[in-house]
Amino acid sequence: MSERTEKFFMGKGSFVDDIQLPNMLYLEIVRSKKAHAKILEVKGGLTAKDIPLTLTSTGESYRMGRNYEVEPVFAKGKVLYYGQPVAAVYDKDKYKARDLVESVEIAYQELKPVLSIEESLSSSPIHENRKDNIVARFEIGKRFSPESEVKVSDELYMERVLPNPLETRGIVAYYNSGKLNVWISTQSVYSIKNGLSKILGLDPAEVNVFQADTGGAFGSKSAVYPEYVIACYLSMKTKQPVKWIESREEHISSTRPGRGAKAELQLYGNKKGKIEGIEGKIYVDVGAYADDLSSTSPSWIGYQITGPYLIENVYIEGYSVYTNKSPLGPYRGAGRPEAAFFIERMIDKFADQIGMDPVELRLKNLPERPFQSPTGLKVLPSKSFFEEGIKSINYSELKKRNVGVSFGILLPAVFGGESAKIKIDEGVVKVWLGGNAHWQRHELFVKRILKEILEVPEEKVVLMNGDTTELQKGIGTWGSRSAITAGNALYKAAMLLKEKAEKMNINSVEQLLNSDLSAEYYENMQLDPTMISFLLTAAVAEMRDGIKPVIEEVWAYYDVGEPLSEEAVYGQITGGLLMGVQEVLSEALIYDSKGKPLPETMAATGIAYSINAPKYHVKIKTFGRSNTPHGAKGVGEAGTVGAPPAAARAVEKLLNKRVNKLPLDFDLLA
Amino acid sequence: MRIRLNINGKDYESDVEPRTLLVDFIRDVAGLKGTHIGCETGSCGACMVLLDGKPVKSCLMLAAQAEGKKIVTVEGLSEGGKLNAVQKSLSQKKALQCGFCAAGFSIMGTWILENEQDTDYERVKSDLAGVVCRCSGYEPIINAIVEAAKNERKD
Repeated sequence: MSERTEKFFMGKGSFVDDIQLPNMLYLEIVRSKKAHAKILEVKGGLTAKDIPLTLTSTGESYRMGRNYEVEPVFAKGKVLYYGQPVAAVYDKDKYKARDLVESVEIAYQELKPVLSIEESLSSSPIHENRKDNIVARFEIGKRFSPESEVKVSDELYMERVLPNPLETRGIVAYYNSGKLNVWISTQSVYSIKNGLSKILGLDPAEVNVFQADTGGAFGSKSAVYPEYVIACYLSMKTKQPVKWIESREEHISSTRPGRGAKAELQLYGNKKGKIEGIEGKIYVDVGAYADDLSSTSPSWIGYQITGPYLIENVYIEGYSVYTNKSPLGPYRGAGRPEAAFFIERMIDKFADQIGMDPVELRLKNLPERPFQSPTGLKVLPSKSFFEEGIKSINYSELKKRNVGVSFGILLPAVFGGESAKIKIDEGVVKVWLGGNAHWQRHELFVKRILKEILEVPEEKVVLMNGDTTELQKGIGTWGSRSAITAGNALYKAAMLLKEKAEKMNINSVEQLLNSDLSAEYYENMQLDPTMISFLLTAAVAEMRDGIKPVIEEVWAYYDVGEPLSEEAVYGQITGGLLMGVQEVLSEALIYDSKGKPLPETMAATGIAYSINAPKYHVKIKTFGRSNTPHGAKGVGEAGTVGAPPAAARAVEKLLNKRVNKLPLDFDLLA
Repeated sequence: MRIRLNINGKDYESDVEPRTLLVDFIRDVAGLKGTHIGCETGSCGACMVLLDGKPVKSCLMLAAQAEGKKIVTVEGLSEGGKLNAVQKSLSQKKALQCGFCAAGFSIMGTWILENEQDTDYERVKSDLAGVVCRCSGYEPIINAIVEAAKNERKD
C-alpha cells in the first residue's frame, strides 16, 4: 500500500493550495498583454517602484558569473514577453483579489515582437544594452575538413513545450517573528531558499522553506520565479501570510517552457554506413531573459550529440538567443531529448540516402571500446545491449510495419551530488532527501535501501517532504538524478547510522526503532560513464480515421542499472514515453503573430489524454551497474529522450514524408 | 446569497457570492481539500465529483446549481476510513505518482464500476478520457481500474 496515495483519497494531502492560515492575503499578478512594448504608465497595484529587484539564477545547473539578462521581478520600462509580471494586487478574499487585476491600468507603446530564432538573429536587440540578440555562443568539438563520400544535410526543430504539471505553481509566504517561512510546491527547497534569500537580501538563516505535497513538476518547479519574491515581499510588508496560486492560463503564458531548439546539421559518412563526422549549428530560443541553464543549453545539447555512437569528428557551434517569449526553463529531459532527436533524425536520413536499414546502420556505429567523443562525452561500449534489444523487440517482424527505432543515452545530472538525513523518531524512521520528491517513487527506493542496510520494515519508514530546517543542505530532484545521487547519500547515511548503532550495542531492529539515532550525509558527485543508461525505443505509427497519424505501440528496452524498484521504474518509463510521443504528434506551446500564446486552456496545449496512450512494451534491463554503492542509473527522462525520434521516424514511414519539425505539421498530411 | 449543499451526506450552508464555483464551495466552505483545481476550464478533471451519481467537473459549475443535489467528493468514496475498491486497487498497484489526480481517477473509476457493463481495458481507457495524468502514461491507472472491476464481479 502506498500511504501517500491513501492520504490523497482521504482528502488529507497538503498541497500548497490546501494550506490555510489566519488573516491570509491572496496575491494576484497583473501581466503584460503585449509581447514587446514600452510601458508608458502603470496606475494601481504594486510595481517595479515598490519591488525594484531582479531574479538570480538558481535551480538546475546553477553557476555564477555569466553575462546574460536576468528577469526583473516586475517589468521595468519595457515588457519583453506576453504574461510578464507588471504589477500585483491582493485582497483577503480570493475572488476580490482577481477582480482587482482589472483595476490596474497599463498604457503601452507597442514594439515589433521578435518571435523566432531566425527573427532573433536578424532583428535589433530586444535588450537595448546589448549589441545583438545572442545570449551566448559556444564551440563544441573541433573543426574538421570533411572528405566523405556521403553528406546528409537537414534542418531540425523542436517546438516549445509546457511542463504542465497537473498542479500549477504556488506558494504561501509568512514572515513572522523575524523569519520568512515559505511553503511551496517545488523540486528543491534549497534552490528556493538560496534564491529568495539572495534576491531579498536576507540572511539564509532567516529563511525556512517547507515543501508542500507537490503535484508534478517536470522541470517547472526548480527555479525561483517573480511571483515567489512578490509573495514574500508582501508578507514582509504586511506581516500577514500571503498565498499565490498560479492559474492554468498563467502557466501557459508565464511558467518557463522547455525545448525551442533548432539544428542545422551535416552528417558525413561512407556508403557502407560508417558515420565519419557531424557538424553544424544548434540554436536555442531562451525567450526574453536567460539563466544559467537556458543560456548554456546549446552547449549541453552539443556535448551529447554523439549519443551512444563512435563519431570521430564533431564540430558544433551553439547559440542561445533572446526572443519576446516567456523565459525558457527545463522540461523533462532538458537538452537530452534535443540531442537525441537531432542525431537520430540525421542517422535515419543517412540510412535512407544510402539505402541501408537504419537499425543496421546504428549497430555499425557503436564503439567496441570505451569512447571519448570530441565533445568530451565518454561512453561505454553498448553493442551487445542494443543487439539483444533489437532481438527482444522482434525488429525483423516490426520492420514490416511503419516502425521507427531510436538508440539513446540518458545522462543523469549528478553534478553537485546530494544529501540525505535519517532520524529515528518514536519508532518511525524519518527520511529527508536533498532532492524533493513529488512521488516519482523516491519512497520505494528509500524503503528498499533502508531495509537492505538497517533491516527496518518498510512500513516503519516515512519519506518526509523537503524541509530546510531538518536538512540544511541539498540540491534538488531533476535530470534523472535522484536514484543515483539521493540513493547514494541515503545509502551512506544509513551506513553511518548503522555504525552509530553498533557502537551503542544496538543489535536488534526493535532496539534501533526505540532509539533516537540520526545520521546525515552529503556527497558531491561527478558524471561517470557507468552512470549513463542506454535506451532502445521503437514506435509504430498508424493512420486513424483515414486522416490522423497516431502511435499505436511503443517498445522501450531500457537499461536502468540496478533497478531500485521495478514498479517504480515502470511508471516513470511509460509516463515519459507518452510525453515523448505527444511531443511529436501535438504537444506544443505555439504563439500567434503578436507573441500571445495560442492555447488558452490546458487541453489546447495538446497534452495526452488516456485515449492517446499507445500500447507499451517495456523491458527493464541491467546493463552494468553504476559506480555507486547501490548500482542504480537514471530513469526519469528516459522516455522523453527515446520516444520523439522513434515516433517521428514511424510517422515519416507512415506518411512517406520527412519529419524534421515537431510537433507534426499539418502540411505533411496534405 | 445563502447556499446549502449536501456533500457526502452532510449539509453545508453558507453566505457566498452568487458566482462561487462548486469547487470553491467544496474546498473553502466545506473544507474538503481532496478535490483539486488543476486548470479551471474543464481540461483536467482534478476537480471531479459525483453529482446525483454522475461525474461532473466542479470547476465548470456554480455552487448554486448544485443545490438540492447529492454531491459525493473523493472523501465520500471511502467509508469509515476504508478505501473503496477502486482506491484500494490504485493504491496497491501504485498507479498514481504525484497524486494530484487522486480525486479525478477515483471518482471516474468508481462511476465506471457502478455503471459500466463492460469494463475491459479499451472501455476504461475511453471512459477516462476527461481526466489528465501527466505522470504515468495512463496504463498503470487503467490496469488498476480494470482489475478493481474484475475483483468486484467476483465478489
